[in-house]
Amino acid sequence: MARKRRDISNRMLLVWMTLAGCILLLTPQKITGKVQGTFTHVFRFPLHLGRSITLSTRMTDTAAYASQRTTEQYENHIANLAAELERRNQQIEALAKIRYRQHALAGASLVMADVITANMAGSRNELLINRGQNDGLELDQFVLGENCIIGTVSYVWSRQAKVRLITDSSSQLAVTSTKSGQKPVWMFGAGNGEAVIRWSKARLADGENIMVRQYPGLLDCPMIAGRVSECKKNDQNALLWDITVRPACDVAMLPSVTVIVTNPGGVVQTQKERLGAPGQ
Amino acid sequence: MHWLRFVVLLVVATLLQADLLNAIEVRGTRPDLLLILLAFFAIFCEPKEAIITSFSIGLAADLIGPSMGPGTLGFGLTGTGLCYLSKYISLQRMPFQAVTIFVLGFAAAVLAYLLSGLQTQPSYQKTFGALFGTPLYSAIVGPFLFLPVAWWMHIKIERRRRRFGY
Repeated sequence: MARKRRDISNRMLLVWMTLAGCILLLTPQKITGKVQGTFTHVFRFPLHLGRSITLSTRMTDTAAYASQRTTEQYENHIANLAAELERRNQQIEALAKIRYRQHALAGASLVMADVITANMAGSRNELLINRGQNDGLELDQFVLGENCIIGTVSYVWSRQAKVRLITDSSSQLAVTSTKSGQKPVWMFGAGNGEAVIRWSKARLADGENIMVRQYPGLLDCPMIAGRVSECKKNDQNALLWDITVRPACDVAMLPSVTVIVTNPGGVVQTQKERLGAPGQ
Repeated sequence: MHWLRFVVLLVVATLLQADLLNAIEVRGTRPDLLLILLAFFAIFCEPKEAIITSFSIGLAADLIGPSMGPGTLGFGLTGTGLCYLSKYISLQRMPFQAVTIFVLGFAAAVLAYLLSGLQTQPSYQKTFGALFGTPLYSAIVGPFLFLPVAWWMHIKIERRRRRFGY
């Protein structure tokens, strides 16, 4: 047996070694990484010694090196601050434009927020934004996107918040049309990027603006939320109309939104408490 | 072949290669001790010993490398190839050994790069330093290290001197 083992040919040895190498090559790197980690752990003292020697050879002048490190740290810090300043300036400029265009928002505190995720599929139409309770956000505050109302704050964490879009199936807003004399009606979210106004007494033309009516303490003047995309007779009552509304902007493509904080720090009532039933 | 001496030599070379050689790097390039050992054993050992040492050195290179597998196969196959090739060409003179180390290092780096492409997360990089710099630096210092390695491994190497006259 011993002789047989010794007599293995060079070619067979090469084949076995190559096969072992191939197995090693195709083994998941999670496993082989552990082997490498074990080697590093076992020989950590000589490796650490080698590292120290390498560093000591490079640090010929300790004082100069420390000064250089400090300078680099400050330079990096200044670069970070400059980038932050530029970003803040852009936000201020964007908010100033909104104020300029919307005089009704002149007294409101506007909080710009980046969209983290946008869920537009099915009946749940929500955005997750990177501003929260720490930034003054509260429930039911209105959210602007491209100068139109896109939804309301539905949940607030300390640093994040969830925005319920007007097309969400749980959304319910009092709206009016641009036609004068129209009483507010409820607009319900229908999911899939649409909202509906049911049992409307007035027939609205396609493309007509749908405005969210003013909510004292939350929204000081009516603002556009969407446009009529379809108006058809109600199935049960031929005198009433079912109106389909599409948001006034492409919400799915919004990189950032603006939250209207009209009553910072104040007690905010829910919309239903504040408004009562529409038409009252 | 003194295998215990080989293991000690391999461990020491691997540890030196892991970090200590950074002290003598030139423009981000440093010599590869494992490549020099690979060339030494491929030139001066019998085929069976050369195969085992080549793959072992490749495994050691992988232990301190970005991933495991490419180095083992790259070093193993190129070392074995050099061993068989050294039967037909004389590699006793230092310039030839230097050229051999350079070509061997280049071939092993290319092979390791290609083989790493088979992995889920390719790790070897096709940089100028990896393909040319390290083999060149190793080729310059390698032949001078053959003598102490031969002394440690108790292997006799013959160096032919240039003959003058007729």
